[in-house]
Amino acid sequence: MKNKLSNILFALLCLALLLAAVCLGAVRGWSADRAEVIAALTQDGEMHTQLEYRGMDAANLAVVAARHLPADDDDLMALRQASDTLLSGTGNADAILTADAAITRIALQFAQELPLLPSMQTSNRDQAYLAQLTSSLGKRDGLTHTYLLLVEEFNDGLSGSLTGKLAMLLGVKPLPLPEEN
Amino acid sequence: MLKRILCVILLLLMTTTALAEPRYPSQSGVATDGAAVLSAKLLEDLHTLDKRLERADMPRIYVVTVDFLDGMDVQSYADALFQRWKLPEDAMLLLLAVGEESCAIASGRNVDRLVSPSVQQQLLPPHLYEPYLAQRYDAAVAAYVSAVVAEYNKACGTSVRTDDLFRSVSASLFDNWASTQSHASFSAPAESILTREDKGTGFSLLKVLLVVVLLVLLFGSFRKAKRAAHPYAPSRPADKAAADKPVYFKPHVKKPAEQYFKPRR
Repeated sequence: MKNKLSNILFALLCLALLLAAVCLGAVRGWSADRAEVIAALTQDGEMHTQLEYRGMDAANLAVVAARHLPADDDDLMALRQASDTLLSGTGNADAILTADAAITRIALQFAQELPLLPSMQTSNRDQAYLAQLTSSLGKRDGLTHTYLLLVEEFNDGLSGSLTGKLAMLLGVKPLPLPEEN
Repeated sequence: MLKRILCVILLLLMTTTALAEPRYPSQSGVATDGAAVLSAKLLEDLHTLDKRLERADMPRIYVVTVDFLDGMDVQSYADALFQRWKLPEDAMLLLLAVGEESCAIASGRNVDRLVSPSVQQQLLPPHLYEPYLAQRYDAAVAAYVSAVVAEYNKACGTSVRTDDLFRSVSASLFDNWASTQSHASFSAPAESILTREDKGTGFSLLKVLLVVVLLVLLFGSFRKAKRAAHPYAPSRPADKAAADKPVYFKPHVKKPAEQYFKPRR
């Protein structure tokens, strides 16, 4: 009787250990995947380099726009701030995505509004710079879209697999979808 | 010990907040026209002048044009380019950021000995600003380079010629010289010199001070530790201590703050 009880206890212990290992593996695996998706934006890599280039182009656009807009123009200040966020490399994924979306929005707005200003109409050079910079910064299928695909892929895997569901139960959250421009 | 660890962590934190590196142009001889604003004739004349300077064993002048500075301030960009291209001590680099309407000079020590940084700076307003802002880039470069070579000749007693060069731009150029020489008040706005530097690089005065304080703390504690290890060492008089200080190299590229400028429109 005593032997049987110890066998049951041992079996239960093994089962508990097995469950704990599965849970630990699910949480660690899916957390690592989640961190990898976020790191695509925040750490060195192709997407991060492209974001830095966008930050530089945004800074250059701000220089051109500043010649034709008042220094306290809201869009101009927002553009500079967004550029700083991308160039400083210190922002989190949310801040980077917000900055990226702001740059796209302001670039499209500048492309429509600035050519109407009399000072802009007298400067062929600035017209050329404006057209060149706003066309690359205002693209809607930019980095946010690439990041959106990565997020969707992760979220689908998380909610569509057993280990993913287990990881969700244990606190691994799906990634928030970025707003597409 | 704790203080030392804290210092190292703070230094690391400060270096990690540095801005992304801008896109520098690749060097192509003495004239790198990244913004494509200089004429073929001017580029040819710059090469001819370079050969003459080389023959006369005089400092060479590199001219670079770019459209933008990618968020960096103009002087830091010029200094970084000078180092990135590994230009020698007897070289001067004139950077024109056309889309930003700004420019800067970076020069090696041998050039600074020949033509002081303040003179290099003083040559900008009468020779470069007006044609530069009027988008006559050939004229701006020709006028400034000619003025620098004249200073070289004055300092070395040589006679490197420039009068037969830059002819395509010289007609309007010398008219401008005459008119701009009388504009004594035409000078770089001090506001842009300081604010642009602070905004662009992330290296504000506060950060520099903080680094200095941290280094003093760090090395101060080393010295204390040394003294503690030799408790019977005689205390040194103040002047001897000063004489024993290590001699640091002058920075590779040194420019006073006045050398930055963003011309008034």
